[in-house]
Amino acid sequence: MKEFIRNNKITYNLMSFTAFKSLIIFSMLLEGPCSYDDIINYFENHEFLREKISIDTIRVYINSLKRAGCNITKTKRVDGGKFVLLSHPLELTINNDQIKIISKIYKTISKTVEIEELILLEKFLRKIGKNTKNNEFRQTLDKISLLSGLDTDLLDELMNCCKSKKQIILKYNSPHSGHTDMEIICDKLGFENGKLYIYGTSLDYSQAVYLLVNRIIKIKEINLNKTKNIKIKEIKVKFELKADIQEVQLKENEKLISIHNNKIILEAKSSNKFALKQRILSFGSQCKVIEPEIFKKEIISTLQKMRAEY
Amino acid sequence: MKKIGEKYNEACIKIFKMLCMLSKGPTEYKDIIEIFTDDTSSDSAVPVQLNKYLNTLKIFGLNITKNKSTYRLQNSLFTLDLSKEDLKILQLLKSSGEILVNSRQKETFESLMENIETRLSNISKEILENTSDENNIKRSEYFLKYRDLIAKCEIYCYENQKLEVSFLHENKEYKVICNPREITYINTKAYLSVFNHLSRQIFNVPVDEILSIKQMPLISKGKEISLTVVYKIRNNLAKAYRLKEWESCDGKYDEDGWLTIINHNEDFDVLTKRLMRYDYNCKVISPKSFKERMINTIDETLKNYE
Repeated sequence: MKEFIRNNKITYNLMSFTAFKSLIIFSMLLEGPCSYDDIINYFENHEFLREKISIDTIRVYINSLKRAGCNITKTKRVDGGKFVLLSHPLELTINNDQIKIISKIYKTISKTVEIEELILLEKFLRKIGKNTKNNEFRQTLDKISLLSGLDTDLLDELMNCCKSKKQIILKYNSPHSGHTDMEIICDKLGFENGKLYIYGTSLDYSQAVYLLVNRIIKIKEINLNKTKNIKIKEIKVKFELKADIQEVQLKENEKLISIHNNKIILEAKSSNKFALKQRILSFGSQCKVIEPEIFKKEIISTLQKMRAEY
Repeated sequence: MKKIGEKYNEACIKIFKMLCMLSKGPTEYKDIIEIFTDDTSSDSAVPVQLNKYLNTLKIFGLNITKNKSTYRLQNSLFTLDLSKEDLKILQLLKSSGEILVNSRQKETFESLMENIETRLSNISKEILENTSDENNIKRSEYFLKYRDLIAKCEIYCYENQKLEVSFLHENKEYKVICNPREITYINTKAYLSVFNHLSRQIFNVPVDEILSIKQMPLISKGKEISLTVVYKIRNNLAKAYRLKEWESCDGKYDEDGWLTIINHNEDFDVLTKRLMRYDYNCKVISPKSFKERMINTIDETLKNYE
């Protein structure tokens, strides 16, 4: 309007005044619910309109907006008798072809960015999802997202705790004992087999732990006085691998001892025996535990139990 | 005389029709003009009507540009407030559109990105303009290193012609005649997923192990009926298990506490490694060939300790 007055290039008879006023009412409803009085006052005090508008005229405008595709309801008189815009045709539309493409691109991006950025991607797509009518978009996101069902605010908090290696008490839904408190020193967030885990040191078990993030209910407490000198019982496992070293992605806790005739000797150090066992078993017949004897026996016993299932 | 409840303004309907068209993307003159063709007596009045409504939008603050016969809405009544972080992601998505090889897919994707940008609030637009490339999110070094090869594999998948793929595995060179399927990602590595008719198996060939790809003049027409693997899991594993996209399960535990999972199209090598990790909380049911493969892997591993 200001521009129009300033440059004087367009005159009233070269514009649709009715269309202009419907846009005003529509944009008022976009801002929030409006009563008859709100609209009347706005028109009366408008810098250039300064017009008295009747209730009947407003009703015609509302009818017209409804006819144009807006879904408008009116609250009860006791609630202020306000018009509420539930949806409108100018919302962002995402068609099914676009959903398929977004899904394809998500799969590429999600594996090639850091977790912090993955959280940002999740927040962005959820925001877009809220602004579009297509439920299919939200459903697809639930299906493909690596962070599906996770609270992004909690993820942000956990991420911050990991960055500054904070000592925290978590409310955790353990598959063993149900809701329980767990105290850990946070280390990092990471994916393992498509699931997000928080890695850290457990104060309760004095060992490295990784907890499924979707089982964390909340951060109950952040302990400012970090426990020092935690005695963690670590085990060192030496194992042989029949593989090309180029093809083996060594973990942070593993180191190469020697390579001889396509046989690699590795040493893994961890306080989490369960994780070590899983790692060893995943190599199948390519792998043989050398020491310690007690761990070797456990692996043999597990393999025998696996065989017994068949 | 019509009741108030039945009355409406034709001008309101027209301006919204016009806005809806423009909000969906660039709009041709011939399409937009149709809104005004019904109620005018002469053809010459139609462009006048159009200008009247375009002026209304402009006065309201909506910026519309015209390039040859195409109108383009530059801002919207309905705006999206995106933060600096959101806009970084928007940029990341836009740059990721490069992997789309099909021009129709590319156009569809670009139109969505344009629709989002059109709806950005003024503040968001300002942030976007002031975001330099340096601030953009960087992809992993691995992805950047193999981006061209991944894009090439995407083209092979799109063209759907039979391939002869040579690749390295445990220091040995292998060749497989196959139908390209898709690019998949396991952990942070990219794989060319292919179907081999001879073994009726899906293979995930690591992109970084590919030595050469020969495209054959044959379009892949054969139906890909790969083997479905059925396995059971129990205890905590079953409680915490998150189904993969290619898996299904009815969620019912049998009387011994086992949960049955039906798995389609997973590379057998990858699946074997995964199921081995689940130790005696997992048991393969069918097919017989995969079950035997699993038993054989356990037996061979046990032999290491004899």
